[in-house]
Amino acid sequence: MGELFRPELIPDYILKISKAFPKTIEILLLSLLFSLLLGGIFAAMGMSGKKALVKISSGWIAFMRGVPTLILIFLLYLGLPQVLKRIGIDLSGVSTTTFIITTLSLSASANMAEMMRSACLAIDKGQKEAALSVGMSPAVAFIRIILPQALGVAIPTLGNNFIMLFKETSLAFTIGVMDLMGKARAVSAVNYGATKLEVYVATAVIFWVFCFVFEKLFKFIEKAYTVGRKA
Amino acid sequence: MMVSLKGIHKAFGDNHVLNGVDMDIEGGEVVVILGPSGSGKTTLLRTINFLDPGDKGSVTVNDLTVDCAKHSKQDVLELRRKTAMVFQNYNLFANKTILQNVTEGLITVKRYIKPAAVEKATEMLKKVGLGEKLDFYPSSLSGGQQQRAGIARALVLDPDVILFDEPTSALDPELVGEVLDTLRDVAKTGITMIVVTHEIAFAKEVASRVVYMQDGIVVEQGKPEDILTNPKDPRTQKFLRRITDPGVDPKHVDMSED
Repeated sequence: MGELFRPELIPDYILKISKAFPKTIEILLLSLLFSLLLGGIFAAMGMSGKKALVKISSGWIAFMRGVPTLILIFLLYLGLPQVLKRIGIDLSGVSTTTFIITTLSLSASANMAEMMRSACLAIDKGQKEAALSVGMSPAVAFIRIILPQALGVAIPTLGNNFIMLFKETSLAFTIGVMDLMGKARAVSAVNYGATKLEVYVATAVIFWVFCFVFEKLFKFIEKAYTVGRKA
Repeated sequence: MMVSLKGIHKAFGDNHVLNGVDMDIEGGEVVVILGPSGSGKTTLLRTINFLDPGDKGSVTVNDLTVDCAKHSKQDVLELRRKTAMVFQNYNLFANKTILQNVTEGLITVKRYIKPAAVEKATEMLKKVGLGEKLDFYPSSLSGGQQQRAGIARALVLDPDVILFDEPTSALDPELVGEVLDTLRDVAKTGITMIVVTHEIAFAKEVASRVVYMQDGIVVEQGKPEDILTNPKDPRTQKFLRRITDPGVDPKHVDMSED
């Protein structure tokens, strides 16, 4: 038996594990994109004022927020292909990365929808009335007046959701994706888990550093975006 | 006839705010609507540009008549493009500078090219005394300055009628004067104005007609000197007695029985 904890190994592990960073970023950015698109659709439905659409939207949000992401991953990756096979659709050619991106997009879409809805509701209704009173159509009023203001309101929440999504990418390893976490497990396996602690400290450091950077980045974006016009 | 309202009814749930209002306004008139709070004057204004569509009746502005009960989106859009509104809380676009607030309608609605819009808007803002504030955001301006920008935003569109919804009610007392001065200047241009206000002195001086509303109907209307100094209806008499009482807040005149 060697020493209990050998911190001098950590820098090397950080370098090794970071090689999987592009994979994590791929999952993160694509999930972000699709969850925003989906979230936008459900937010629009939620604010449409049409009873059926509002119900669908709130049902979707309640479901996606109520199911742990890990369970959703297993449902989609293990359960869905079984069901679809019976009706003749074969998912065996779909990559594990695609499954992860799909799952994270679905689960994050609920928070994204709520973020957009509450940001729009936060804008004083006088803004819309003023836009209509000068003769803008409701669509133009939304694009020119409401949306730009709602964006300013949403940026801090978006930063939060972004960081949550980043951390949730670490669930990808459960179905064999070589993301940061998958790579960490592989590195650890090389010496039969003898340096587990060092490996996972290294992984945690990578996540923590990037979370810190993302947080600062979003603070900066918020400041730059709302410069001069915060009451 | 520039503006014609026929049989406007409006209820919010069980609360019947307007109970059949008729009004005919000629081009160039300055109509001041007075009345206690809850009398329906603001709601009447908002039914004209369909921010709150009436339940019954019709609104005519210039040559366009729109039925309150059934109207197409296109009708409403057209109607709004013939009118402009100045709001109690200014409602300047918070994400735009003062100049952009005024050019916005010209560019998106009137299809001005940007340099022409900027030129026209700048000229208008100079007229209301904001030539030095073009690149400021609304939040950095005083209430009086914001409201003057709101007036410029409405005026620049050359509407057939401008609707003023208590334009000085949200202002600190020392800022009311500058906005009333601007309103006087607007009145001199000959544009048709409908003004909901509590400023009796302003009504006396600027209005071509004073309308007294209570309980969702027009109680009495006529020349300001008649209505304000010699009202016929006991309700108008009572209102004027109370609003001119120095101990009463003109924005919250209590009309209950003694």
